[in-house]
Amino acid sequence: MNSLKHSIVFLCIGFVWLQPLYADSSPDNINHAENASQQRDIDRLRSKASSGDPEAQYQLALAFAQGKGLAADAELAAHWLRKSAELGYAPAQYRLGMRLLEGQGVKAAPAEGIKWLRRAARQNLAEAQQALGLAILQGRGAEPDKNEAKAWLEKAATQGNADAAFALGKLLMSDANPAAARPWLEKAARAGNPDAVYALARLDSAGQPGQWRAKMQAAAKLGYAPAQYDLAVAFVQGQFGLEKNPAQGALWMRKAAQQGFTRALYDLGWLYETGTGIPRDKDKAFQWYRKAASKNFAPALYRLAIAHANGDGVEKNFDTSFDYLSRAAIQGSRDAQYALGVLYDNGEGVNQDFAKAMQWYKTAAAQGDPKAMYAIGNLHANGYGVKKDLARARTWYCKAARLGLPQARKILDDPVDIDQACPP
Amino acid sequence: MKPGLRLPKSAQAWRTPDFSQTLKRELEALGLDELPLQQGLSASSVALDDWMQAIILSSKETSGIIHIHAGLFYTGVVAGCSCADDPTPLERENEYCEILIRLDHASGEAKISLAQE
Repeated sequence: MNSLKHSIVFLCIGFVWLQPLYADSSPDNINHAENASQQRDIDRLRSKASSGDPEAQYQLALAFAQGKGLAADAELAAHWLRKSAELGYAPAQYRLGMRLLEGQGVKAAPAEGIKWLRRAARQNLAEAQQALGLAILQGRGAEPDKNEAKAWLEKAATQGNADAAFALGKLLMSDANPAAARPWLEKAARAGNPDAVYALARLDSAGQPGQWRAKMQAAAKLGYAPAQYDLAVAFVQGQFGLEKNPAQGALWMRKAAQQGFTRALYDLGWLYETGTGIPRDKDKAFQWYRKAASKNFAPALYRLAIAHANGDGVEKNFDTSFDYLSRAAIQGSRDAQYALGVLYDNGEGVNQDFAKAMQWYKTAAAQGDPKAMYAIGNLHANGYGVKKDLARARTWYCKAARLGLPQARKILDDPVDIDQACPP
Repeated sequence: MKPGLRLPKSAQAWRTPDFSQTLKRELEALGLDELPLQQGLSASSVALDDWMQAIILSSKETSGIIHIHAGLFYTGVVAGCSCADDPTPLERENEYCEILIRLDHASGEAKISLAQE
């Protein structure tokens, strides 16, 4: 009995030890076996697809699109997708529709894309209903139609498509219908959509600070940068029932900034510059300002322009300041537009050019800058770059005075009633 | 980047009021071969050098070498499908990177590298 046991044990050990001689499991051989198996699968798929099986045609299209088991080929992917779609296979209709809509791998044909999306959506494919709803909303491939868009989004959302629920919620919000939006946003939020959690928090910002805090913190913890930013601001300023906690604010601001959220890049710079919640550090402040400026964020470009003009924390350099100022003005900074106007008006660091000064003053004035309005008045009053025209000058002084600019009121002899001094 | 890059006018203009403008002009005349625009991409995959603006952030000289820190605003495109007769327009993305330049004051020879964050 014992010897039999020993023999069995020996045989087992021998089998285990000998196994590698019969089954080589080296990576090369595994890959070879996998490739052979994949090739057989592809061959089977080709054969079924050629004999008109729409699901096989769809799978073959995906294989060509992704280069799985065969060389990637966008044209062949589109060919098999179309075959499958024509046989009524909804996922193929959806993918073909999207490709035509966006011009992926095929020539863009938005109207035809919509046709295929519609066919898939009618077969109740939630992704197709969502895509169709959004495309119709944006007027891509079809006339914009809010009601039809809503109907398709609702169908998709009812099937549990969280993105459709969120889109529908946002659409209803834009219709100023928060009560109707809320259940859809909640549906999307329950599915973990951070945009929806954030939108709900913003809905609660008026009158429900407790709800705001809970939802904003949830969205921030989900890594949603706008929520991290809003939470940071609330901590720094002590809003929504949060106790003022600049250190906590700086922490959330950094998280949002590290995700490249533009406002956070700028505000983190400000926290460093002012030492709010973090140790004051001008070098770091300007590093973050430059990161925000790299995204053409106008306040950051303007801040850097001022800093380089004064040598405040950075090298004093008029050319650099002027470059930042120009970019800030082009990006819509009213202050930068006015400042450029002043430089051209006075010929400070640039050749005096009243036409350019007028152009920048007018751009700033169009954004409601009273100083720019007053400056335009001066150009007209003095005939600088334009024909001298006191009536026109007065019109501009009036505009500035109506916005409360003291020097404009003074030049109009400090009228008690501005409407009397400046008839419309 | 090409070896033997030279920025002679900038070297000559050092310590004059024209230095920033001269360096800007010389940098803006350079292209993809000389500047690390491709390595500096953050939003796109292919750098373009036709709409580039240089901003001089700081400059100082030590032992005959002018050390310059500059920012480059430029654009890039996302490389995607370039299928036959695909009319999809390529959209430019704004890009920005910062570079360090070691400019030999005497010879005008320059070495340019991407500034590490």
